[in-house]
Amino acid sequence: MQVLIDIKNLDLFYGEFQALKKVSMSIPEKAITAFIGPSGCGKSTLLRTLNRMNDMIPGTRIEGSIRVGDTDIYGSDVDVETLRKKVGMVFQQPNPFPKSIYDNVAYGPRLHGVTKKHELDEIVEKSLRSAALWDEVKDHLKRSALSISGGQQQRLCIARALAVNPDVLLMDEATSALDPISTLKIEELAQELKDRYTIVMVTHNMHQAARVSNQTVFFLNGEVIEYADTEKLFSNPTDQRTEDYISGRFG
Amino acid sequence: MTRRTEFDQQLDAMQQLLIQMGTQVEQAIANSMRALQDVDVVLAKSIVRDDAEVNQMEERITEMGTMLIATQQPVAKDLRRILVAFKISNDLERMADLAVDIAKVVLRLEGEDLIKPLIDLPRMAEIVQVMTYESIQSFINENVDLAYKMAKDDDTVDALYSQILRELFSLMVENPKTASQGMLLSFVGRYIERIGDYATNIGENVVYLVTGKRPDLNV
Repeated sequence: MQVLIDIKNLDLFYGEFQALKKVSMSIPEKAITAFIGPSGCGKSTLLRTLNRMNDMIPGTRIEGSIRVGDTDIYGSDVDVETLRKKVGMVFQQPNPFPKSIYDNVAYGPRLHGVTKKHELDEIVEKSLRSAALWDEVKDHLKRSALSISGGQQQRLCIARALAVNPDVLLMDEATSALDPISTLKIEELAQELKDRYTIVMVTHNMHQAARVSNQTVFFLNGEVIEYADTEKLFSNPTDQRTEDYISGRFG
Repeated sequence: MTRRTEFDQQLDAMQQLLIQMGTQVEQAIANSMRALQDVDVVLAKSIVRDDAEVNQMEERITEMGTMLIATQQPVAKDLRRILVAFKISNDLERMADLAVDIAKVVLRLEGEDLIKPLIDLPRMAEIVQVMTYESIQSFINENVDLAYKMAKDDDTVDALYSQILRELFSLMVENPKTASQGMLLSFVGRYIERIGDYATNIGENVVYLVTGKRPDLNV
Protein backbone atom coordinates (compact mmCIF):
# COMPACT_ATOMS: atom_id res chain seq x y z
CA MET A 1 0.00 0.00 0.00
CA GLN A 2 1.11 3.50 -0.86
CA VAL A 3 1.90 5.78 2.08
CA LEU A 4 -0.05 9.04 2.10
CA ILE A 5 0.74 10.48 5.52
CA ASP A 6 4.27 10.21 6.83
CA ILE A 7 4.91 11.30 10.40
CA LYS A 8 8.49 11.49 11.65
CA ASN A 9 9.76 12.06 15.19
CA LEU A 10 6.82 14.20 16.15
CA ASP A 11 6.92 15.90 19.54
CA LEU A 12 4.04 18.10 20.57
CA PHE A 13 3.94 20.31 23.63
CA TYR A 14 1.01 22.14 25.18
CA GLY A 15 3.11 24.66 27.11
CA GLU A 16 5.30 22.54 29.37
CA PHE A 17 3.25 19.39 28.91
CA GLN A 18 4.48 16.99 26.26
CA ALA A 19 1.42 15.41 24.66
CA LEU A 20 3.21 13.48 21.90
CA LYS A 21 6.62 11.88 22.19
CA LYS A 22 8.70 10.98 19.15
CA VAL A 23 5.75 9.69 17.18
CA SER A 24 6.65 8.16 13.83
CA MET A 25 4.29 6.31 11.52
CA SER A 26 3.33 5.86 7.91
CA ILE A 27 -0.39 5.91 7.19
CA PRO A 28 -1.37 4.17 3.96
CA GLU A 29 -3.69 5.79 1.46
CA LYS A 30 -7.19 4.52 0.71
CA ALA A 31 -7.47 2.58 3.94
CA ILE A 32 -8.88 3.17 7.39
CA THR A 33 -6.41 3.71 10.20
CA ALA A 34 -7.78 3.79 13.74
CA PHE A 35 -6.15 5.42 16.77
CA ILE A 36 -7.04 3.85 20.10
CA GLY A 37 -5.89 4.36 23.67
CA PRO A 38 -7.08 5.63 27.03
CA SER A 39 -8.15 9.25 27.56
CA GLY A 40 -5.23 11.64 27.42
CA CYS A 41 -2.97 9.26 25.49
CA GLY A 42 -2.49 11.71 22.61
CA LYS A 43 -4.60 10.06 19.93
CA SER A 44 -6.88 13.06 19.33
CA THR A 45 -3.91 15.40 19.56
CA LEU A 46 -2.15 13.50 16.79
CA LEU A 47 -5.31 13.46 14.65
CA ARG A 48 -5.58 17.23 15.04
CA THR A 49 -2.01 17.78 13.94
CA LEU A 50 -2.91 16.25 10.57
CA ASN A 51 -4.93 19.31 9.53
CA ARG A 52 -3.26 21.69 11.98
CA MET A 53 -6.27 22.11 14.22
CA ASN A 54 -3.85 22.38 17.14
CA ASP A 55 -2.57 25.66 15.71
CA MET A 56 -5.56 27.29 17.36
CA ILE A 57 -4.50 26.20 20.85
CA PRO A 58 -2.18 28.79 22.39
CA GLY A 59 1.18 27.50 23.62
CA THR A 60 1.26 24.54 21.24
CA ARG A 61 4.71 23.71 19.96
CA ILE A 62 5.60 21.04 17.45
CA GLU A 63 8.88 19.39 16.49
CA GLY A 64 9.39 16.75 13.84
CA SER A 65 7.61 16.52 10.52
CA ILE A 66 4.36 15.46 8.93
CA ARG A 67 4.03 14.98 5.21
CA VAL A 68 0.70 14.53 3.50
CA GLY A 69 1.51 13.41 -0.03
CA ASP A 70 4.33 15.66 -1.17
CA THR A 71 3.57 18.45 1.25
CA ASP A 72 5.34 19.13 4.53
CA ILE A 73 2.20 20.43 6.23
CA TYR A 74 4.10 22.41 8.83
CA GLY A 75 6.24 24.03 6.12
CA SER A 76 6.27 27.81 6.05
CA ASP A 77 4.68 27.98 2.60
CA VAL A 78 1.63 25.92 3.52
CA ASP A 79 -1.76 27.57 3.35
CA VAL A 80 -3.78 26.12 6.22
CA GLU A 81 -7.12 26.63 4.47
CA THR A 82 -5.91 24.64 1.47
CA LEU A 83 -4.58 21.96 3.80
CA ARG A 84 -7.94 21.67 5.55
CA LYS A 85 -9.63 21.34 2.16
CA LYS A 86 -7.38 18.36 1.44
CA VAL A 87 -7.66 16.99 4.96
CA GLY A 88 -11.30 17.19 6.05
CA MET A 89 -12.55 16.53 9.53
CA VAL A 90 -15.67 15.23 11.23
CA PHE A 91 -16.12 15.80 14.95
CA GLN A 92 -17.71 14.02 17.88
CA GLN A 93 -20.82 16.19 17.93
CA PRO A 94 -22.44 16.74 14.55
CA ASN A 95 -21.90 20.43 13.85
CA PRO A 96 -23.96 21.45 10.83
CA PHE A 97 -24.24 25.18 10.13
CA PRO A 98 -27.63 26.70 10.94
CA LYS A 99 -28.40 26.76 7.25
CA SER A 100 -30.24 24.54 4.80
CA ILE A 101 -28.99 21.05 4.02
CA TYR A 102 -28.05 22.26 0.55
CA ASP A 103 -26.14 25.29 1.82
CA ASN A 104 -24.22 23.21 4.31
CA VAL A 105 -22.81 21.03 1.54
CA ALA A 106 -22.36 23.93 -0.89
CA TYR A 107 -20.57 26.02 1.74
CA GLY A 108 -17.07 24.73 1.08
CA PRO A 109 -17.24 24.75 -2.74
CA ARG A 110 -18.63 28.32 -2.64
CA LEU A 111 -15.79 29.37 -0.36
CA HIS A 112 -13.37 27.95 -2.87
CA GLY A 113 -14.95 29.84 -5.75
CA VAL A 114 -17.65 27.63 -7.26
CA THR A 115 -20.62 29.88 -8.06
CA LYS A 116 -22.52 28.27 -10.94
CA LYS A 117 -25.76 26.72 -9.71
CA HIS A 118 -25.60 23.60 -11.88
CA GLU A 119 -22.07 22.90 -10.68
CA LEU A 120 -23.09 23.35 -7.07
CA ASP A 121 -26.16 21.14 -7.62
CA GLU A 122 -23.93 18.44 -8.99
CA ILE A 123 -21.45 18.69 -6.09
CA VAL A 124 -24.25 18.68 -3.49
CA GLU A 125 -25.90 15.59 -4.98
CA LYS A 126 -22.62 13.75 -5.42
CA SER A 127 -21.47 14.53 -1.89
CA LEU A 128 -24.79 13.60 -0.31
CA ARG A 129 -24.81 10.36 -2.30
CA SER A 130 -21.26 9.59 -1.17
CA ALA A 131 -22.34 10.20 2.42
CA ALA A 132 -25.32 7.82 1.94
CA LEU A 133 -27.74 10.63 2.79
CA TRP A 134 -29.13 11.65 -0.61
CA ASP A 135 -32.13 9.35 -0.63
CA GLU A 136 -33.21 10.56 2.79
CA VAL A 137 -32.96 14.30 2.12
CA LYS A 138 -33.28 14.83 -1.64
CA ASP A 139 -36.87 16.04 -1.36
CA HIS A 140 -36.16 18.69 1.25
CA LEU A 141 -32.74 20.12 0.56
CA LYS A 142 -33.95 23.55 1.57
CA ARG A 143 -34.92 22.37 5.03
CA SER A 144 -32.74 23.43 7.96
CA ALA A 145 -29.85 21.07 8.63
CA LEU A 146 -30.75 21.28 12.31
CA SER A 147 -34.12 19.61 11.66
CA ILE A 148 -32.70 16.20 10.71
CA SER A 149 -31.64 13.48 13.16
CA GLY A 150 -28.23 13.35 14.83
CA GLY A 151 -27.11 10.45 12.66
CA GLN A 152 -28.24 12.28 9.52
CA GLN A 153 -26.51 15.46 10.71
CA GLN A 154 -23.27 13.54 11.11
CA ARG A 155 -23.56 12.14 7.58
CA LEU A 156 -24.30 15.69 6.43
CA CYS A 157 -21.05 16.81 8.04
CA ILE A 158 -19.27 14.02 6.16
CA ALA A 159 -20.96 15.18 2.91
CA ARG A 160 -19.83 18.73 3.69
CA ALA A 161 -16.25 17.53 4.13
CA LEU A 162 -16.43 15.49 0.90
CA ALA A 163 -17.80 18.43 -1.10
CA VAL A 164 -14.37 20.08 -1.32
CA ASN A 165 -12.86 16.87 -2.64
CA PRO A 166 -10.41 16.00 0.13
CA ASP A 167 -7.76 13.26 0.07
CA VAL A 168 -8.05 12.53 3.76
CA LEU A 169 -11.01 12.35 6.10
CA LEU A 170 -10.30 12.63 9.81
CA MET A 171 -12.97 11.28 12.14
CA ASP A 172 -12.62 12.32 15.75
CA GLU A 173 -14.95 10.09 17.77
CA ALA A 174 -17.43 10.65 14.98
CA THR A 175 -19.98 8.14 16.22
CA SER A 176 -19.70 8.50 19.99
CA ALA A 177 -22.76 10.78 20.18
CA LEU A 178 -24.87 8.54 17.94
CA ASP A 179 -27.25 5.66 18.55
CA PRO A 180 -26.18 2.14 17.46
CA ILE A 181 -28.09 2.20 14.15
CA SER A 182 -26.64 5.57 13.13
CA THR A 183 -23.23 4.37 14.27
CA LEU A 184 -23.52 1.32 12.04
CA LYS A 185 -24.48 3.51 9.08
CA ILE A 186 -21.42 5.71 9.58
CA GLU A 187 -19.22 2.60 9.90
CA GLU A 188 -20.63 1.18 6.66
CA LEU A 189 -20.15 4.54 5.03
CA ALA A 190 -16.52 4.61 6.14
CA GLN A 191 -16.04 1.19 4.51
CA GLU A 192 -17.42 2.53 1.22
CA LEU A 193 -15.42 5.75 1.38
CA LYS A 194 -12.08 4.09 1.96
CA ASP A 195 -11.91 3.07 -1.69
CA ARG A 196 -11.65 6.75 -2.56
CA TYR A 197 -10.34 8.46 0.56
CA THR A 198 -7.78 7.91 3.26
CA ILE A 199 -9.58 7.75 6.57
CA VAL A 200 -8.01 8.24 9.98
CA MET A 201 -10.29 7.78 12.94
CA VAL A 202 -10.01 8.21 16.67
CA THR A 203 -12.34 5.99 18.61
CA HIS A 204 -12.95 5.05 22.21
CA ASN A 205 -14.87 2.06 21.00
CA MET A 206 -12.27 -0.65 20.50
CA HIS A 207 -14.72 -2.92 18.81
CA GLN A 208 -15.41 -0.19 16.30
CA ALA A 209 -11.71 -0.04 15.52
CA ALA A 210 -11.70 -3.83 15.21
CA ARG A 211 -14.77 -3.84 12.95
CA VAL A 212 -13.91 -0.98 10.68
CA SER A 213 -10.21 -0.28 10.37
CA ASN A 214 -7.40 -1.83 8.36
CA GLN A 215 -4.64 -0.62 10.66
CA THR A 216 -4.80 0.19 14.34
CA VAL A 217 -2.44 2.29 16.40
CA PHE A 218 -2.41 1.98 20.18
CA PHE A 219 -1.24 5.05 22.10
CA LEU A 220 -0.24 5.40 25.71
CA ASN A 221 1.06 8.54 27.43
CA GLY A 222 1.81 10.28 24.15
CA GLU A 223 3.71 7.36 22.66
CA VAL A 224 2.87 4.85 19.98
CA ILE A 225 2.98 1.48 21.73
CA GLU A 226 1.91 -0.66 18.82
CA TYR A 227 0.97 -0.08 15.19
CA ALA A 228 -0.21 -3.15 13.31
CA ASP A 229 -2.78 -4.58 10.96
CA THR A 230 -6.05 -4.48 12.87
CA GLU A 231 -6.48 -8.23 12.58
CA LYS A 232 -3.08 -8.81 14.16
CA LEU A 233 -3.45 -6.18 16.86
CA PHE A 234 -6.77 -7.53 18.09
CA SER A 235 -5.94 -11.23 17.79
CA ASN A 236 -2.34 -11.40 18.86
CA PRO A 237 -0.79 -8.09 19.88
CA THR A 238 2.96 -7.94 20.39
CA ASP A 239 3.06 -5.65 23.41
CA GLN A 240 1.57 -6.74 26.75
CA ARG A 241 0.25 -3.19 27.31
CA THR A 242 -1.76 -3.45 24.10
CA GLU A 243 -3.12 -6.82 25.21
CA ASP A 244 -4.10 -5.40 28.61
CA TYR A 245 -5.82 -2.42 27.05
CA ILE A 246 -7.80 -4.19 24.35
CA SER A 247 -8.91 -6.94 26.72
CA GLY A 248 -10.18 -4.35 29.20
CA ARG A 249 -7.60 -4.99 31.88
CA PHE A 250 -6.04 -1.60 31.93
CA GLY A 251 -6.59 1.84 33.33
CA MET B 1 -3.94 -4.30 36.34
CA THR B 2 -7.68 -3.84 36.36
CA ARG B 3 -9.54 -7.11 36.50
CA ARG B 4 -12.78 -7.65 34.68
CA THR B 5 -14.24 -9.37 37.72
CA GLU B 6 -17.38 -10.90 36.24
CA PHE B 7 -15.66 -11.92 33.01
CA ASP B 8 -12.60 -13.32 34.77
CA GLN B 9 -14.76 -15.33 37.16
CA GLN B 10 -16.69 -16.86 34.29
CA LEU B 11 -13.48 -17.63 32.40
CA ASP B 12 -12.12 -19.29 35.54
CA ALA B 13 -15.31 -21.31 35.96
CA MET B 14 -15.05 -22.51 32.37
CA GLN B 15 -11.42 -23.43 32.89
CA GLN B 16 -12.25 -25.33 36.09
CA LEU B 17 -14.91 -27.32 34.28
CA LEU B 18 -12.42 -28.15 31.55
CA ILE B 19 -9.92 -29.38 34.15
CA GLN B 20 -12.64 -31.47 35.79
CA MET B 21 -13.54 -32.91 32.39
CA GLY B 22 -9.88 -33.70 31.71
CA THR B 23 -9.55 -35.54 35.02
CA GLN B 24 -12.66 -37.58 34.32
CA VAL B 25 -11.47 -38.52 30.82
CA GLU B 26 -8.06 -39.49 32.17
CA GLN B 27 -9.83 -41.76 34.66
CA ALA B 28 -12.00 -43.30 31.93
CA ILE B 29 -8.91 -44.15 29.87
CA ALA B 30 -7.17 -45.72 32.90
CA ASN B 31 -10.28 -47.72 33.78
CA SER B 32 -10.80 -48.93 30.22
CA MET B 33 -7.32 -50.43 30.19
CA ARG B 34 -7.80 -52.02 33.59
CA ALA B 35 -11.13 -53.44 32.45
CA LEU B 36 -9.44 -54.91 29.38
CA GLN B 37 -6.60 -56.52 31.30
CA ASP B 38 -8.99 -58.11 33.81
CA VAL B 39 -11.85 -58.55 31.30
CA ASP B 40 -13.89 -56.73 33.94
CA VAL B 41 -17.37 -56.32 32.48
CA VAL B 42 -18.76 -54.38 35.45
CA LEU B 43 -16.04 -51.76 35.19
CA ALA B 44 -16.53 -51.62 31.41
CA LYS B 45 -20.25 -50.95 31.85
CA SER B 46 -19.55 -48.13 34.27
CA ILE B 47 -17.27 -46.49 31.67
CA VAL B 48 -20.04 -46.62 29.09
CA ARG B 49 -22.54 -45.21 31.58
CA ASP B 50 -20.32 -42.36 32.81
CA ASP B 51 -19.66 -41.11 29.30
CA ALA B 52 -22.92 -39.15 29.34
CA GLU B 53 -21.43 -36.88 32.02
CA VAL B 54 -18.44 -36.09 29.84
CA ASN B 55 -20.77 -35.24 26.96
CA GLN B 56 -22.71 -32.89 29.21
CA MET B 57 -19.52 -31.18 30.33
CA GLU B 58 -18.57 -30.54 26.73
CA GLU B 59 -21.99 -29.01 26.05
CA ARG B 60 -21.73 -26.89 29.17
CA ILE B 61 -18.30 -25.57 28.14
CA THR B 62 -19.66 -24.70 24.70
CA GLU B 63 -22.58 -22.84 26.30
CA MET B 64 -20.33 -20.94 28.72
CA GLY B 65 -17.90 -19.93 25.98
CA THR B 66 -20.69 -18.90 23.61
CA MET B 67 -22.24 -16.75 26.32
CA LEU B 68 -18.89 -15.08 27.06
CA ILE B 69 -18.32 -14.31 23.39
CA ALA B 70 -21.84 -12.93 23.01
CA THR B 71 -21.80 -10.77 26.11
CA GLN B 72 -18.17 -9.81 26.75
CA GLN B 73 -16.66 -9.41 23.28
CA PRO B 74 -13.34 -10.98 24.24
CA VAL B 75 -10.27 -10.26 22.11
CA ALA B 76 -6.70 -11.51 21.81
CA LYS B 77 -5.74 -14.06 24.48
CA ASP B 78 -9.14 -13.97 26.18
CA LEU B 79 -10.73 -14.95 22.88
CA ARG B 80 -8.10 -17.61 22.22
CA ARG B 81 -8.73 -19.03 25.69
CA ILE B 82 -12.38 -19.57 24.83
CA LEU B 83 -11.72 -20.92 21.33
CA VAL B 84 -9.14 -23.30 22.75
CA ALA B 85 -11.58 -24.43 25.47
CA PHE B 86 -14.05 -25.35 22.70
CA LYS B 87 -11.43 -27.41 20.90
CA ILE B 88 -9.97 -29.06 23.97
CA SER B 89 -13.39 -30.03 25.31
CA ASN B 90 -14.19 -31.48 21.89
CA ASP B 91 -10.93 -33.46 21.89
CA LEU B 92 -11.57 -34.69 25.45
CA GLU B 93 -15.06 -35.78 24.49
CA ARG B 94 -13.63 -37.81 21.59
CA MET B 95 -11.01 -39.32 23.92
CA ALA B 96 -13.77 -40.41 26.29
CA ASP B 97 -15.65 -41.95 23.35
CA LEU B 98 -12.54 -43.99 22.54
CA ALA B 99 -12.37 -45.18 26.16
CA VAL B 100 -15.99 -46.26 25.69
CA ASP B 101 -14.99 -48.10 22.51
CA ILE B 102 -12.35 -49.99 24.50
CA ALA B 103 -14.95 -50.76 27.18
CA LYS B 104 -17.26 -52.15 24.49
CA VAL B 105 -14.47 -54.45 23.33
CA VAL B 106 -14.28 -55.71 26.93
CA LEU B 107 -18.04 -56.41 26.84
CA ARG B 108 -17.55 -58.49 23.69
CA LEU B 109 -14.71 -60.43 25.34
CA GLU B 110 -16.88 -61.44 28.28
CA GLY B 111 -16.08 -65.02 29.36
CA GLU B 112 -13.10 -65.35 27.01
CA ASP B 113 -9.48 -65.88 27.96
CA LEU B 114 -7.07 -63.44 26.39
CA ILE B 115 -5.15 -64.92 23.43
CA LYS B 116 -1.92 -63.46 24.79
CA PRO B 117 -0.71 -61.65 27.88
CA LEU B 118 -1.20 -57.93 27.32
CA ILE B 119 2.14 -56.15 27.55
CA ASP B 120 2.45 -53.50 24.88
CA LEU B 121 -1.19 -52.38 24.97
CA PRO B 122 -0.97 -51.43 28.68
CA ARG B 123 2.39 -49.75 27.99
CA MET B 124 0.77 -47.73 25.23
CA ALA B 125 -2.17 -46.94 27.46
CA GLU B 126 0.11 -45.84 30.25
CA ILE B 127 1.95 -43.38 27.99
CA VAL B 128 -1.34 -42.09 26.65
CA GLN B 129 -2.69 -41.58 30.16
CA VAL B 130 0.39 -39.57 31.07
CA MET B 131 -0.09 -37.59 27.84
CA THR B 132 -3.71 -36.91 28.76
CA TYR B 133 -2.66 -35.71 32.20
CA GLU B 134 0.12 -33.60 30.71
CA SER B 135 -2.17 -32.13 28.08
CA ILE B 136 -4.41 -30.79 30.85
CA GLN B 137 -1.40 -29.62 32.86
CA SER B 138 0.06 -27.87 29.83
CA PHE B 139 -3.26 -26.06 29.44
CA ILE B 140 -3.53 -25.09 33.11
CA ASN B 141 0.05 -23.84 33.32
CA GLU B 142 0.24 -22.65 29.72
CA ASN B 143 3.32 -24.81 29.43
CA VAL B 144 4.42 -24.92 25.79
CA ASP B 145 7.42 -27.18 26.53
CA LEU B 146 5.12 -29.85 27.90
CA ALA B 147 3.01 -29.59 24.74
CA TYR B 148 6.11 -30.29 22.64
CA LYS B 149 7.15 -33.16 24.90
CA MET B 150 3.77 -34.80 24.31
CA ALA B 151 4.38 -34.72 20.56
CA LYS B 152 7.52 -36.83 21.17
CA ASP B 153 5.62 -39.26 23.42
CA ASP B 154 3.08 -39.64 20.66
CA ASP B 155 5.83 -40.94 18.37
CA THR B 156 6.55 -43.68 20.93
CA VAL B 157 2.85 -44.54 21.03
CA ASP B 158 2.75 -44.77 17.23
CA ALA B 159 5.79 -47.08 17.23
CA LEU B 160 4.23 -49.35 19.87
CA TYR B 161 1.03 -49.48 17.84
CA SER B 162 2.90 -50.71 14.75
CA GLN B 163 4.63 -53.33 16.87
CA ILE B 164 1.32 -54.54 18.35
CA LEU B 165 -0.20 -54.84 14.88
CA ARG B 166 2.74 -56.89 13.64
CA GLU B 167 2.56 -59.17 16.66
CA LEU B 168 -1.21 -59.69 16.45
CA PHE B 169 -0.99 -60.29 12.72
CA SER B 170 1.58 -63.10 13.17
CA LEU B 171 -0.55 -64.60 15.91
CA MET B 172 -3.65 -64.60 13.70
CA VAL B 173 -1.72 -66.10 10.78
CA GLU B 174 -0.34 -68.86 13.02
CA ASN B 175 -3.67 -69.64 14.60
CA PRO B 176 -6.75 -68.41 12.72
CA LYS B 177 -8.94 -69.16 15.75
CA THR B 178 -7.40 -66.06 17.40
CA ALA B 179 -8.59 -63.86 14.53
CA SER B 180 -11.77 -62.62 16.17
CA GLN B 181 -10.07 -61.51 19.40
CA GLY B 182 -6.95 -60.47 17.50
CA MET B 183 -9.05 -58.04 15.48
CA LEU B 184 -10.63 -56.61 18.63
CA LEU B 185 -7.23 -56.13 20.27
CA SER B 186 -5.94 -54.41 17.12
CA PHE B 187 -8.91 -52.06 17.38
CA VAL B 188 -7.97 -51.32 20.98
CA GLY B 189 -4.46 -50.46 19.79
CA ARG B 190 -5.98 -48.15 17.24
CA TYR B 191 -8.23 -46.51 19.85
CA ILE B 192 -5.30 -45.85 22.17
CA GLU B 193 -3.26 -44.48 19.32
CA ARG B 194 -6.11 -42.08 18.49
CA ILE B 195 -6.31 -40.96 22.12
CA GLY B 196 -2.62 -40.05 21.87
CA ASP B 197 -3.36 -37.99 18.77
CA TYR B 198 -6.11 -36.08 20.58
CA ALA B 199 -3.79 -35.39 23.52
CA THR B 200 -1.28 -34.01 21.00
CA ASN B 201 -4.07 -31.85 19.54
CA ILE B 202 -4.61 -30.40 22.99
CA GLY B 203 -0.90 -29.61 23.12
CA GLU B 204 -1.20 -27.82 19.78
CA ASN B 205 -4.06 -25.77 21.13
CA VAL B 206 -2.01 -24.81 24.18
CA VAL B 207 0.78 -23.59 21.90
CA TYR B 208 -1.83 -21.55 20.01
CA LEU B 209 -3.25 -20.17 23.24
CA VAL B 210 0.16 -19.02 24.45
CA THR B 211 1.77 -17.86 21.22
CA GLY B 212 -1.16 -17.15 18.90
CA LYS B 213 0.50 -19.39 16.31
CA ARG B 214 -0.65 -22.83 15.18
CA PRO B 215 2.01 -25.53 15.14
CA ASP B 216 1.46 -29.01 13.70
CA LEU B 217 2.58 -31.46 16.34
CA ASN B 218 0.71 -34.42 14.83
CA VAL B 219 3.23 -35.25 12.13
